[in-house]
Amino acid sequence: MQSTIPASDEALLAHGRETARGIGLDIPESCAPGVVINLKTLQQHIDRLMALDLSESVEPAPVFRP
Amino acid sequence: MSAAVRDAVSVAKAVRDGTLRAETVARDALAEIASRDAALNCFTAVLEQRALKDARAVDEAVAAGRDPGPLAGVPFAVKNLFDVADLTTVAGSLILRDRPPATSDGALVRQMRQAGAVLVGATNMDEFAYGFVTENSHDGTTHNPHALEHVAGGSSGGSAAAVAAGLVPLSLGTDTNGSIRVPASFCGIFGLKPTYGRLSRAGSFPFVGSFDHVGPFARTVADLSLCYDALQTGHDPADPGSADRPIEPTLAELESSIDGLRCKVLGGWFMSGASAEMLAALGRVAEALGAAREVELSGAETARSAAFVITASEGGNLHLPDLRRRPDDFDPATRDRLMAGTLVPATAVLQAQRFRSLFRAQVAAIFEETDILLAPATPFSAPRIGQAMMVLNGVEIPARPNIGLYTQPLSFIGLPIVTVPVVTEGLPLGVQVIAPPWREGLALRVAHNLERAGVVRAK
Repeated sequence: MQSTIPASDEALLAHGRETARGIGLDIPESCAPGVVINLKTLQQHIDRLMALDLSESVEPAPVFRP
Repeated sequence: MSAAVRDAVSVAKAVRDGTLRAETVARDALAEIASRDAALNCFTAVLEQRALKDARAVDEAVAAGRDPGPLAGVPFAVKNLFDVADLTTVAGSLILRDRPPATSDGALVRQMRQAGAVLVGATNMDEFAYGFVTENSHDGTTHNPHALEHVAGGSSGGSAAAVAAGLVPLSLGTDTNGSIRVPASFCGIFGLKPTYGRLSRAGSFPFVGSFDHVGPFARTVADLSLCYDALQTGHDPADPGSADRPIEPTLAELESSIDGLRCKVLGGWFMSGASAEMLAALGRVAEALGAAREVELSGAETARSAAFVITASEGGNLHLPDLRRRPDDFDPATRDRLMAGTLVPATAVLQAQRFRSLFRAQVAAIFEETDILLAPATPFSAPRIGQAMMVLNGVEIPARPNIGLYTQPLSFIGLPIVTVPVVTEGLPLGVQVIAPPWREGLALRVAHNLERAGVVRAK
């Protein structure tokens, strides 16, 4: 069946599938449209976070207690 | 009025006094559920035999002169992600349904039972707690008791609706990004999300270890406080997130004065995007508390983004084995979100956790000069079931992605929050009463004062 996902979404999906392969996950065609929508939403949040210039003194919140 | 819809404080007092039998209360609650839940779909399992057995044990304790506990004979329900002995913990999923039944009660279920409360059933939720509407593709949709064509909110929607409908006086839910506060707002009841680490999550199915909280729903603040006090255990080594804090009871302090408290309204992000009705409700709470000043919490939008990224990533990682093996057994909406979550770059998750440290410090500085913060719990009242878009202030926006706008930045840093139902004409609206870490008692005291003043009340 011909994918209905637009070209830019296809590129996003291809990148997602490549990453998924690295963790042993297959993204079936039936899941592809939903995964693409969610990847786009996540990317907006990631962009906002990665725009932050955090001081090197700021450590991640969870503290490991041995 | 049946015993089932009485408040927990009254039921426990009458049972302890011997003027009301716990078995009568349990039978009334079971009868209410049997006659009314078909229209609401709050429950996924009703535990009649267990409820009657536990109720009789309470009655026997009273008859023998033993202390039956502070919640003697009070019926309660739990979200179906809590372990209940002899019942499979499904967490709203099909995938967990073929697992064996739990061999024992989860920590909070055990606490409730030891306090004399009587478990009557397990409640509906969004699959694996990933949602705000309780439209579950396996167990159906939970309906809002105040308008059946509207959602109850989620992910603890069954627990909230069961209390709102008067089927039980108390229920337990979980809150990772707003899953107690959102359904409390939509259903017009009180909900408490305690400080992160305060109540034990042992024996509950996880979602996002970094933000998972457990807490109660009730129709009065006194009931909420009574229940919360019974749930406290202090440090529980069985929960990796459990804090080393003493038990700090709240009920005896509810009547204390709140004169002189410095209450402020969260501005900026928390005031933008809310409906006019919600802003009016917030205004009434603020006026009652003399909260004339606004305080800006810069970075709230980034905090929501960070919560979003950590949630997707931790949730995706948790469910990766089943996403590989049996993707078709997930609710499609949950599955696609979780799949995308597995693909989040590690550096984004670390950036989010670093920002969390920064944001926590910023809020701690605000609490140096403030005792209580106020914010809407939801931008609007409960959407219709299946509703994709909302019209807000003349602008059409997607409904579901916006439900957690005001809850996510706050659970992100684990603050204790009571959602209070503001007295309104239309569908219910809730406001978040936010306290500094470990000050649940203060938030409950403020909520109780608002209730006594007639500003907030369960619908």
